Amino acid sequence: MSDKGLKVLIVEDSASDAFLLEQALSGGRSWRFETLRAERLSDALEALRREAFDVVLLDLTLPDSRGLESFARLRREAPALPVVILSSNADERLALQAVQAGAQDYLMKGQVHGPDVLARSVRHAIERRRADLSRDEALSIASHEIKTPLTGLLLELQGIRREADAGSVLRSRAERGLAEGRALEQLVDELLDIGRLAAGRLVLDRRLLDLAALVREVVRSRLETEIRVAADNPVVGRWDPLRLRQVLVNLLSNAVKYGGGKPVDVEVSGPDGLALLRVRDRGIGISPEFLHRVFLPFERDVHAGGDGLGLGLYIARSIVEAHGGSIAVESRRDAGSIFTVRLPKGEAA
Amino acid sequence: MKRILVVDDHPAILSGLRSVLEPRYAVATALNAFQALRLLESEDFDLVLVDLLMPGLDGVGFVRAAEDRRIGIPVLLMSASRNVAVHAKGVRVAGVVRKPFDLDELEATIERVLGSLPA
Repeated sequence: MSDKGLKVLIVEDSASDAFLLEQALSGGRSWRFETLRAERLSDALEALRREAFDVVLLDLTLPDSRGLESFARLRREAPALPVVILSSNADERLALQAVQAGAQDYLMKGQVHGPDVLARSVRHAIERRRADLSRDEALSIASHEIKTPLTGLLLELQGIRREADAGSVLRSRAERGLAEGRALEQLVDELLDIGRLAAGRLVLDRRLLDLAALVREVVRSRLETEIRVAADNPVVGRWDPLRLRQVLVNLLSNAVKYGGGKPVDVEVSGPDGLALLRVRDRGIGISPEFLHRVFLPFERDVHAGGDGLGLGLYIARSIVEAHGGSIAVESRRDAGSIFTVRLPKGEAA
Repeated sequence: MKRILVVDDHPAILSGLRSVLEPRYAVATALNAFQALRLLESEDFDLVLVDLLMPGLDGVGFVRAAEDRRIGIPVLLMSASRNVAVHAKGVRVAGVVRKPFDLDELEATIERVLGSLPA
């Protein structure tokens, strides 16, 4: 915060709406605000590169960007910055989705002229973002610290397994210990990822990659259920191989886990500049009341016997979105689920 | 017997790696990059395993310092991070080993690097 007060970036194409907001901010008694207005998202992104702001007020419908994409691009440009969505009655649902995707708050336009309503929301958004970031930082530090003794532990257990005679009780106890340790490692990795993702610190290592080949490779290593692959050849783009593998593994693990033992279908195609990945199972499906929450962090479908931290699909979504893509789900009770990933091919297209 | 120098700031990792590698290689250890550089100047090794994240001089800094001192030796970076490729950009290493280790994979990587050395 500067001496002049809090710096607010107002991203709003309607001059009259922006005027009302500026007025509402200047009328408050408790805090002082300095505002800058951007009419287009590109102007806003440029302003963020030029100077630092304390908070952004964002209208989702702009001349050069619409919907959640506006929020996603803003967050990518300035990961730590608190964002308050400006919503009209017509798109309140969209505003709520933006909050679920990580925006700090949303306000209904036309209801912000109460003396301190807007100022309070802005202050609240700033504090909330700060709390989120320190939680994510703590998660990140904690998981990293856990990894060191875990590395030592797994090393010792592998040593014991090696020295123990084949078929001995000691060998099988070492095996069991190792399996538990690997499970712990996976949980820690997920926590580490969530800290990184929420703080907007996911760094992509993009390489030229054939998605069809990656799918075949990941599927080959899963033997527990029949997984059928239908793939165009090849589907090439510039993506992060390790991260895309993670998306695949998460989607396939779910399909197998909730697939009721029936075959799983994976389809890869590459129409135009897009790669399309579809994973379909024929299992129990996702309960309707849970369906809209599947991509949120720490959510599990308890009715379906979900276990773990409930981070797999959240991580998958975040990785796909970091690549500029999208992920969607359709599901019917007892008929199964279809997850569809759309990925822009990047410069390789 | 080939000689390997293992560099990590955690003693438990050093002793763990020593006990699994020792039957096949001669293993020396160092708790930080400076200690490792001193050892490399006085003794001959065939390979260095070095942790990426260490206080003081980290793994990438170690590789740079070794290059500055014209110590030509293959280096394997060890890291718990999955973004090693991003961190290690700009320095030349013989490979990257993920922590926690998969012992078979670790040994295969070591063998690959040692095997490609001139006899």
